Amino acid sequence: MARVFGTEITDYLPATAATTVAAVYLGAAYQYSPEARATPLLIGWTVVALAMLDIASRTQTGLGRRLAGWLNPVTTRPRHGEGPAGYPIGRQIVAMIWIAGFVTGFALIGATYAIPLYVFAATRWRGGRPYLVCLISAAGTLAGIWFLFGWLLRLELYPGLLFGGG
Amino acid sequence: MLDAWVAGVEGLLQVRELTFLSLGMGIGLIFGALPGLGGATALALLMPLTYGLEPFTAVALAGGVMGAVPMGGSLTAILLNAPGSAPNAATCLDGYPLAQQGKAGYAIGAAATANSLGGIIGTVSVLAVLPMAKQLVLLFGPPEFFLLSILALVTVAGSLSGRMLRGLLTGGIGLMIATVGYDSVTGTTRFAGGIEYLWDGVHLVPALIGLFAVAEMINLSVTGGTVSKDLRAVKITSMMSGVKATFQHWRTVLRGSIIGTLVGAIPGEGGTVAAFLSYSMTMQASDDPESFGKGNIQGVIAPEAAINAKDGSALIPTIAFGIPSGAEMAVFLGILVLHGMQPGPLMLAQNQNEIYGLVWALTGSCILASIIGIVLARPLGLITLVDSRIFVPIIIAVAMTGSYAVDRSIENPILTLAFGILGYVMIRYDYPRLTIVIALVLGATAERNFHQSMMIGDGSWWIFTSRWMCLGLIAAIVLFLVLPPLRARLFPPRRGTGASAGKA
Repeated sequence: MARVFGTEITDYLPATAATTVAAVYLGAAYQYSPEARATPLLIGWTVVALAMLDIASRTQTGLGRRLAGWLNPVTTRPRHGEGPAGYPIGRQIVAMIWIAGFVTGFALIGATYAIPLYVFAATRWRGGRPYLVCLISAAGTLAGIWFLFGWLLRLELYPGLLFGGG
Repeated sequence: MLDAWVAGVEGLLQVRELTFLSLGMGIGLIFGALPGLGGATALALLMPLTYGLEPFTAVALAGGVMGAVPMGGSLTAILLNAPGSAPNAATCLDGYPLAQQGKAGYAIGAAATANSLGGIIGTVSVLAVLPMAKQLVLLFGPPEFFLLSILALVTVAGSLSGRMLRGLLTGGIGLMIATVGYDSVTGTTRFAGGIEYLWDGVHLVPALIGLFAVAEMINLSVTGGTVSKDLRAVKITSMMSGVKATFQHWRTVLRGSIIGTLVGAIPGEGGTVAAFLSYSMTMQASDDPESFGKGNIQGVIAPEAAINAKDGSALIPTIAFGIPSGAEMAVFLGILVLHGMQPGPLMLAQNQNEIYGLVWALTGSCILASIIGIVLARPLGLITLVDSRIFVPIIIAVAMTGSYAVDRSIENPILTLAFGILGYVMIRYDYPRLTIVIALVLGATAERNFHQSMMIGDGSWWIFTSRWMCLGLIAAIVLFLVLPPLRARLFPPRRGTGASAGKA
C-alpha cells in the first residue's frame, strides 16, 4: 500500500472525502443570497479546517504526531484482523450489496414480495441455513412486519413501483 | 410541580400507555441482551412506530426501551461473558466468574435488584433537579440557544475519549447535512440538488435508522457468527439469595447510585464511566479487594446500580439543554423532535406531562424489566445463540419497512441505505456517529437562533458576548475544547478504553 508522509494513503480517505464534500458544499453555498449562505459558509469553512487538521494529524511527521497526541490520541489504525478494517474489502462490499439489492426489490416489487424473498435468499444463500429454517424466517418476518405495521398501526405496506406504488 | 408528577403517573397508567411501555420493555430486554445493538439501535428502529402515536405514548415506549436495556445487557454479561452494551462490561468482571462457579442465579438476582434500586435513586435525583433547571428558561434568548447548540456539539466531541477532532469533524458534516432543504428564515431551498424529496431537509428518522440499525447490521454481517457458541453456559440457579445480598450490601448500592447519578448528569459521559468508576471505588472501599474479579457479588451490584441511576440523571442534560449523554439519548432526542418537542429549556415549561411521564416510564420499566429479567433469564440468554446470518436480514427488513412507514415515502429506505453505508464507513474508520446525530437534531434550531441573534444584533457578532449567560456559555465552549486535549496529554488514553459515547 502506498504511503504518504509515512501513513497509508487509505487512512487519508475519510478526511479527504470530507474536504471534497465541503468544497462542493461551499461552491453551492456561494450561489445563494448573503443571508441564506451565512450559516453554510460558517459550517463549510469550519469543516474544511477540521478536515485539514485531521489529515495533518494522520501524518507521521512531528506536527502530525503532536496534533494526534493533543486532539486524537486513540485514533490509531486497528491492528491487523481487529475491527471491521481487518476484514476483506470484498466481504464488506457484498454485505452492502445485499442490503442495496433488498432496497431495490422493496422499491420495485413492494414489501409483501421483497421481504420474504430477501430474508429467504439471505438466510439460504448468504447464511447457508436449511430450507425449512429459511422458509420459517421469511414467513415469520413478513407476518411480524404485517402485524406491527399493517395491523397494529394500520399502515399499508409499500406495493412497489411495478404494482402501482407512487 | 406535584400536579405534573401526578399527571405523569396518571398519563402512564392508561391501557394504551402501559401496553406500549411493556412493548418497549420487551424490545429493550432483547436488544440489551444482543451485544452491539443496545438502546440506540432499538430506539432508531422503533422511531417510525412512534410516528402514529401520541407524544405521551411515544415517550412511554421509549422509556420502556431505555429502562430495560441495562437489564438485558446484564443477563448476557453474567451468563455468557458477553456484555450487551459497553457499561455492562464492568458486570462481566465478577458476574461471569460467579456464573462459572454455578452461581449465575445469585449474580442475576443481585444485578436485577441493584438495577431497580439504582433506577429508583436516579429517578429521585431527576425529580429533585428538573424544577430547578426550569428556572433557566428565563435566562435564555436566541444567542444563548445558539451557543448552547455549539456547546452540545463541543461537549460531546470532547467526551469521545481521545477522538475529539474526529467528533468535531463529523459534527460539522452533520451540520452541513442539516442545512439541506427549505430555510424558513430566508425562504430559500438549499443544497437539494433539484430533488423534491430533499426540500423538507434530510429526513431525521430514516437517517438515524441508517446510521445506527443498518450500519450495525452491515458490521455484524461482515463479522458474522453468533455471540455465544456454548448452550451449556446458559444455566440458572437460586436467585433470591442474590436479591438478599443486594440489600445486605446497601452501602454499595448507594455508592454506585450516587456515582451513576453524578456521572449521568455530565453531558457526554457514558454509562461505561459510571459503571467502572463505581466498580473501582467499591473495590477500593472493600476489606477484601483481592476477591474482586474472582466472583465478588459487590462487583456485580456496584456497576449495575450505577448504570441504572445514570439513566435517570442523563435525562437532565438531554431534556433541559438538548445535550445527550450518549447515542441512546441522542436518538431519543430525535423521537422528541419527531413529536414536535424541542429539547432544551423551553421543553421544561411546555412538555411537563411528557417529561414526568418519561421519568416514571423509565423507573417502571427498569423495575419491571428486572423482574421479567429474573423470570426469563434463560430464554433471553438463548437469544445470543441466534446466528447473525438469520437475524441480520430480519432486522434489515424491519428497518427498511419502518423507514418507509415514517411518511410513506419510498425515498426513505434509499436515504436509510445511504446513511447505513455512511455509518458503516464511520465505524470502519473509527469516526464517531454521535456528534453527527446531535448536529442533525440541533442543526435547524441552531441556524434559526443564529439568524435571530444576528437580526437582534443588527448583523454584529458582538450580540454573542452581550449578556453574562452568553459569556458563560462561551467560556464553557472554550473549556470543553481545551480540557480534553490537556487531559489526553496528562492521562493518555489507551485504545479500546473509550466510554460508551465514544463507541458510537
